[in-house]
Amino acid sequence: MKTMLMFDLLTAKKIAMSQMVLGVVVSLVIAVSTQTPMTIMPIMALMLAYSVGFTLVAYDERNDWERFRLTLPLSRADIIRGRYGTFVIMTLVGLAVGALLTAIVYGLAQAMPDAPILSALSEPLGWQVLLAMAVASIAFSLVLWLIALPLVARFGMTKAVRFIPLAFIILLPLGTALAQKAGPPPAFVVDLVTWALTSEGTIVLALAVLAFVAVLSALSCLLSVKLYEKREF
Amino acid sequence: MSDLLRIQNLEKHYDDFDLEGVSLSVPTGSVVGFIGSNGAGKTTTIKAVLGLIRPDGGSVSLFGEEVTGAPEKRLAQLKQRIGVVFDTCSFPEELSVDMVGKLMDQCYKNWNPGAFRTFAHAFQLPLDKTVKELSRGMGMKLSLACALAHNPDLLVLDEATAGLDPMAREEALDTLRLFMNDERRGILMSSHITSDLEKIADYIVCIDGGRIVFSVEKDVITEMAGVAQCRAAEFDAVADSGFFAPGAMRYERNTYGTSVLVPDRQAFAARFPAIALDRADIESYMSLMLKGGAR
Repeated sequence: MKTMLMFDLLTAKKIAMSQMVLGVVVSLVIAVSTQTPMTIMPIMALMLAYSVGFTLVAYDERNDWERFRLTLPLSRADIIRGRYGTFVIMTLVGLAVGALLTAIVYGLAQAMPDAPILSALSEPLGWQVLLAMAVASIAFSLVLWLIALPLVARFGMTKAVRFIPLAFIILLPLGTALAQKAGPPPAFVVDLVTWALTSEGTIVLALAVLAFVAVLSALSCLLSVKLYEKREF
Repeated sequence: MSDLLRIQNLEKHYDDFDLEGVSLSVPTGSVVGFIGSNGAGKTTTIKAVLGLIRPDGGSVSLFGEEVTGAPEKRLAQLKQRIGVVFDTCSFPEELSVDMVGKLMDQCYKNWNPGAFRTFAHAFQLPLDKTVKELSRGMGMKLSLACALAHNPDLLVLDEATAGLDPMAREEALDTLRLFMNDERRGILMSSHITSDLEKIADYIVCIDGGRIVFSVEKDVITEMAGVAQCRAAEFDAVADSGFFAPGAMRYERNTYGTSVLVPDRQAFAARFPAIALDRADIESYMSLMLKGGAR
């Protein structure tokens, strides 16, 4: 797994750096236009996880790299676990850079409250909002890959791209239909939201979401390993 | 002499192609040339050896250990002793030559960074160039350097010299000869360039339509066999002489007469001194065995 991680991280180094620069620009533009630095973390996490992820998966099929990689002393399980590890690391790096950028923007806004662009960004963000954004960033940046990676493991990127939109096309109307059928939120949902807004509720909910994403990641990884072991090259 | 690789009755079935009863081995200290036309089954056989596909029947043993159905982890461990070169340089394009070396260092326990640098220097590979900046020939040299720098016992080369110019091919063959100075090693080398195999192979295995057509020592082809150039009357005389067992004579008609594959050149020359006789080479032998008529 460590070897595969090294392969991916070294291969992705250049693209990750360029995406980080692009992410900083995009997140700052959006922060200024929406007048809140709240979106910086999710944008950085999503940009890094998605762009690096797609690049790595696309590289697999170039020059038969994926086939050649299997001739190296790596098991198929090592390859898949390493790939999941890369996505987690990219998400966390994006999140860390996003957090740092948020702090810098907020610090600058505090230091120069009269500056025309920065003045709108000086509104303090509570720790609960920041935590919620961080957890949401992790969940959203990983959710696509948790669905996509088993498909990529089974079919390869070229074929999987035919199925990935299909998965979302099926899930989206299903979710919408369920939401429409649900009617007004039941009392326990209202209670849950109210509880989530308390300090204790925010922390517990954040941990619960992280645990859920971790379990989902483990299940997705297990499925990918099984599918990849059956694939022929 | 033990076998580094032994394939027995290998089978793999696809909708439009079947690999049937393929058997071959790579004994220690030997180079086995694996020849055949495009789509004959060479790469499918190599894929089965390396675990890229699952055989439908038969067995593959590496270093005396059966790997058909073996756990992935075990196969990965055995791959520490194998160096592989395909017909393209498959490393990610963004990586530099130096970086590829560092990654291989992570992969192989026996990786020798000094040996890699020596090969890179000998092959004139600039360490700071990325894979995408390398020419096809340079890419192949990088693949070869990586395959050799972890001191493998078995090299598996699938059309590895295909993209190289004659001088670079000669250089690569010299490197392989040096590799074979250690008699505990072996090479399975699939190639269309039969002249390369004439220079380096000890055995020649030919596959066609998913079946092994012949498997012989190279000297049986290049030292013993010959190709007789017969005129019409000579051809009939040879065919009726009983020199060949019924159905064993392979021949091919051409503009000037008929070429006949002769298994024992000296015996044929003694029997038919008036018939022009050339040494056989792997290409003519393969051509007559695959495309020639039988009588």
